Amino acid sequence: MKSDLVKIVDLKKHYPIRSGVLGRTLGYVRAVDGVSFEIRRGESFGLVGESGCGKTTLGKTILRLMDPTAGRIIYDDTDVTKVSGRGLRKYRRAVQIVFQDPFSSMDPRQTVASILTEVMHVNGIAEGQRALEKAIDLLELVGLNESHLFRYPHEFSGGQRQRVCIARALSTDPEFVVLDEPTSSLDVSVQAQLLKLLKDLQKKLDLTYLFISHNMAVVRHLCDRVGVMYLAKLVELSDKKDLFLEPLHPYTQALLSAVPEPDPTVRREGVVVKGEPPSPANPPSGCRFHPRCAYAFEKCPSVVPELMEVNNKRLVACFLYDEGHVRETG
Amino acid sequence: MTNQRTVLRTRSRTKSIISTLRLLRENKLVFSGFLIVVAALLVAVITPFAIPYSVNSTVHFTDKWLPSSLSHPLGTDDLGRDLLSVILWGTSTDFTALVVVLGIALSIGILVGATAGYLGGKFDEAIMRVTDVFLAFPSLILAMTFAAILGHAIINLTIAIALVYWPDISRLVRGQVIAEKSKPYIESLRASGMSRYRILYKHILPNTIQPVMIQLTFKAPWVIITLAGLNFLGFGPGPFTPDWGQLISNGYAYFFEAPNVVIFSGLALLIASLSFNLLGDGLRDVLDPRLRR
Repeated sequence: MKSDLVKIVDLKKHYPIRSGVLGRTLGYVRAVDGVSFEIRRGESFGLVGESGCGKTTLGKTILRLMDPTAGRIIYDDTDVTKVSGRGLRKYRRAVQIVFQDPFSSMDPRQTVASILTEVMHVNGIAEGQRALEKAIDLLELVGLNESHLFRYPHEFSGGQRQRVCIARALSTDPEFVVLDEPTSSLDVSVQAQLLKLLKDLQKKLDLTYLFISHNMAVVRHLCDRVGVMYLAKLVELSDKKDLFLEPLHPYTQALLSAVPEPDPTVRREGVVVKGEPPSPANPPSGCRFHPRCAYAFEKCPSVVPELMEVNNKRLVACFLYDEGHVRETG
Repeated sequence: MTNQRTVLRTRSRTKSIISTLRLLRENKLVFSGFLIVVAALLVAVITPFAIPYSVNSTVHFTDKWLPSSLSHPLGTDDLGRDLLSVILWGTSTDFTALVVVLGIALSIGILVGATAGYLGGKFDEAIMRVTDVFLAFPSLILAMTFAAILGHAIINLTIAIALVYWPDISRLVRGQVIAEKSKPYIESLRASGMSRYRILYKHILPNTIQPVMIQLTFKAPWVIITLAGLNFLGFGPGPFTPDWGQLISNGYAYFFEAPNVVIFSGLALLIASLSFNLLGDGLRDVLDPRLRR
C-alpha cells in the first residue's frame, strides 16, 4: 500500500460574519467544518460537491493560502499547519495549484516567459538562460512550444492558457498539485485533451493530485479515490470504482443520478434532492443533509453522523449504514 | 546568462515602445497633443541654454508695450522685454514646476496610497481621514494658504501645489490597489511562493499605474493653471522669474493698449493645457496591454 503524502486532520475554516462600524462578530460561516482524509503518494484524489460546499476553501487551506481555524495539515510527515517564513516557502515549492479560470490567474502584463521565469527565480530554481531553457521545456511538456514564450495571456485560447497555468505550477518541480476545477471553464473537447495531459503528466512526473470538481464524469475519468463533500463536511469517501458502482450516501446517489446520460434510450430512476442547499452560516442540526434527504428518519435531525467504515474500507457518514438500522430501501 | 536575460528584456521593451508609438499615432488629435507636450518639454529644457537669462532681468522702459515687429516678433511687455523670450522662459519655469509637482505628489501619493490600500485596516482608515481633511478645502484656497506660509519662491509654490495634489493621487492609487489585490492572479502569485512585498511592487503597482498616468495627464493642466493662478494673484516670485500667470497679471490692466501680452501668454497656457488633455484621452488606449501586439 502506498504511503500518505498529505494528511488532513479535523480541518476547519470558519469565516467571521462582521457587521456595523465596530465590526462585531455576529457568527461564523463554516466553510470547512472538521474534514479529515489522507491523500496517498501518486494518486489522484477527487473532491466533489456542489458549489459553495467548501471544496475550494479546503483546497486553498491545504495550500496554506488561507490559515485554518482549527485542525492539522501534515505533509510528508511534517506538520505544515503553522509553518511560516522559510518553511512555508519550501512547502509552497512542493505543492502547487491550478485555478479554475486561467485568464484571471495570470498577471495580464506578463509574457509567458516572464511568468515562468519569475516563479523559478523566486523559488531559487533557475536563473537567466537556464530558466528560459527550462521554461521552453515546460511549455513543450504541456503541449505548447518556444514560439509561445513572448506572448501575453490575452493572446491565447482558453485551453492554451490553462496549459500555461499548468506549466507554471510545474515550474517549481512540485510533488503535489491541487487542481481546482481546472477544466470547468473550458469546452468539452478541450476538457478531454487537458484531462489526458494531466494524466500523462502525473505518470511522467510522479505527481499526486487533489482534483476538485463538481463534474462527476471528469472525476470518474481522472481520479483513484473520491471524497464527497456536502456543506463543509465529508459525507463519503471511497475508491472511485465502488463509489460509481454503488454510491452509499443518499447525497452521492443524488449527485450521480444528476450526471447527464448520453444514451437517450436508457431509463433511470433519478434520486432527486429536494430544496436548496442550506446556508453554511446556519447549517441544519444533526445530519446536515437531512432536510433534503428522501430516507431521513427520527435520528437524522438530532445526532451528527460521523464517518464510519462500511464494507471493505469505505467511509460514509450516514445512519442508514448503522449496525442497528435496517435499510428499508435495499 | 545575464546576457540572454538582457536580450530578453530589451526585446520585449523595444517591442512595447514601438507598439506604444504606433498606437499613439493612430489618433491624430492624441498624437498632436503628444507632439505639443514633447515640444513644450523640449523648449523648457533648451530655453535656459539658448536664451540668456539677462533678457528677463534687463529692463528697457523706453520699449514698453511695443507691438509686434521684426526684432520683437510678439512685441514687448510692461518692462520692455522681448515677449517671445519671456514666454519661452515662462515655459521653462512652468514645466519645471509641473514636473516637480507631479514628482512630489506621485511619490507621496503612491507610497501612502499603496501602503494604505495593501495593508488596509486601521492604518488605511487613519490615512484616508487625513486625505479627507485635505480634500475638504477648495484646492486653490488651500494652495494659497500654503504659498502664503512658505513664501514667494517658485519652489514654495511648487510644494504648495504638490501638498494640495497628493491626496488625489493617494486616493486613486489606494482604490486601484484594493481592486487589484483581490484579483485571482494575486492568489496564484502567492501560491507560487512570492512575498507580499514582491507582489505589491512587481505586480500590483505596475497594474495600477495606467489609471494613475491618465489622471496625471488630465491633472497637468490643473497644475499649470493653479501655478499661473497663484502667480496671477501675486503669490509668485515677481517679474524676474517669468511665468505665464504673472505675465497675464501684469498685462491685463493694459489690455486695450497692448493686447499682445495677455493674448500670447494666455494662448501659451491654453495650448499647453489642451494638449495635455488630448494626450490623456489617448493614453488609456496606449497603456492597455490588451491592445498590444
